[in-house]
Amino acid sequence: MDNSMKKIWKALGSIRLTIMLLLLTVCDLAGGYLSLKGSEKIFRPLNDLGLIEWVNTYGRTYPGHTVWFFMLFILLFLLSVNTFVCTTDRVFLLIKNRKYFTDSPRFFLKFSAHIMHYALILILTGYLVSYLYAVTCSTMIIALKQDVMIPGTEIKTRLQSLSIDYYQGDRLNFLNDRACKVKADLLLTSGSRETNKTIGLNSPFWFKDFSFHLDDFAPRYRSGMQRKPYISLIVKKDPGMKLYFAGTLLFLTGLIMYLCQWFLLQPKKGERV
Amino acid sequence: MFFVRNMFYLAAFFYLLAWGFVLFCRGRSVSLFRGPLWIGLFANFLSAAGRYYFSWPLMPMYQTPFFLPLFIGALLSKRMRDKEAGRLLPVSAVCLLSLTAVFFPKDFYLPFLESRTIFSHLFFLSGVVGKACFIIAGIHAIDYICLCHADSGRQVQKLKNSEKRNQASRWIIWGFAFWTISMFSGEIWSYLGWGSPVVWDDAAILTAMATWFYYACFLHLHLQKTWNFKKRSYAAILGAVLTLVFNFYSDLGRFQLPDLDYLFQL
Repeated sequence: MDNSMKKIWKALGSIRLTIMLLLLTVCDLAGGYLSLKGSEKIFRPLNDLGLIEWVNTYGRTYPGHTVWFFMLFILLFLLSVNTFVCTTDRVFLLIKNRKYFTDSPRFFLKFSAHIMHYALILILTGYLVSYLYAVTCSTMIIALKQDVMIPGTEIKTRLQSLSIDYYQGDRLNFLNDRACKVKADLLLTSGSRETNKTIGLNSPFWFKDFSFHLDDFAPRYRSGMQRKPYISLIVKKDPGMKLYFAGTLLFLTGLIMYLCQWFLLQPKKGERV
Repeated sequence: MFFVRNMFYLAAFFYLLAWGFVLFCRGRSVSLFRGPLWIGLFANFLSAAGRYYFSWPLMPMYQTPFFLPLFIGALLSKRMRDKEAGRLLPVSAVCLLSLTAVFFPKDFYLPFLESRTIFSHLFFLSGVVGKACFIIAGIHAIDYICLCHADSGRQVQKLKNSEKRNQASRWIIWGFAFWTISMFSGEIWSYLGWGSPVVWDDAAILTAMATWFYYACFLHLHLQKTWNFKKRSYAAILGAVLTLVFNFYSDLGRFQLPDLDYLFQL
């Protein structure tokens, strides 16, 4: 690296820049809160449309409400670059100084903070990939014994059965005669392949790179006007999902390592590390 | 439900009594505050357990103000046994937060079915613990600042070797860990329920993120030589204020006097 490159690298990885970017992000998010409150309808379609289409429609139509979001994008990008440069520098320094560590667990646990930093970059990259490339088919309504094709795919879905448990008891008064548990059996056909899957609230399933989430269902009440049984699905193909969950797992690993380092390897009084 | 409300009113009353003892008693009698404080904490625990009992397996909505005094009181119980540590700040915090919950309740929202997952409970409970840790860190930071301003040279010298200066940072590390767990649980819950790690239906997600970034910033301050313990203590105090504004205020409702009908049903 020549001198100017070294200077740029050093500037990009400086802690002062980290602190400045983090504080700006806090201010931006606080402004975003004021903007988002009461105008959630502008941001709700972001998950369905994807980033590019959302920017071209809602983003441009309501610049006063969305400017913080674009700022957040820039700040998170700069923060990722800063985190990468700073962490990489410190990881190299740590490896270089390995000989000063007498025991390997202590040396290994020293990487905890760096793991968390890399994990953050992975999570942010995952979110970016998700918002750029995810394909979403929201509110896909399927009535009982009805076949529905998932748009843009060869997958056919059939609602085989729908079982709803209604709450009856004294403890949860507000839930009396209302649905408390739902389970739907689906038959999925793709070409010659047929698969049975079960779905519930917060219990999605995966089929051919697509995840299926239960969004809504009916009838929600045991008494009153009876509605035809149906379910509404969110079907999503999200290439960023593995990245952000891998990042989450990595961050938690780093966090546990950090707490271990903090607890187990605290030097005792008078002991030299 | 009236049991849950009454227990909290009772808790707030005993917290107020404990605060009175700390404020107005001098000498040995000041330790009398412990009795009402423990009764208050127990009543608060019963109220919190009741709130969970009447919503389980769903997550109770907007209940942070009712859980926060309990967690702060419980986490600081060791400190309140210590004669040297200041009692005024923790007892004041517990008392004022409980009174805020009494006069600005927002607990009338019914739990929703989508919260029936372990991740929603993890999101809520670790979030409350995180907030409690951040507020406790603020209390320790105020203590440290007060000691710094004490004009006695002996006290300042003692302070240099004291553990006190690290207390705020320790609580912030714990708070950050719990806050991170809360945010990740929210992310997983959101993905399972709606297929996306971020749901834009609630603006509070942004203040939760802002809090996380603020404390991430705090944890980097020690790497800058210009940020000494005193300056970092001010940052911890600001963090506690931000936690209250960003993550406590949003769980409060409009002002209303305690519902006396509930009291008479005891």
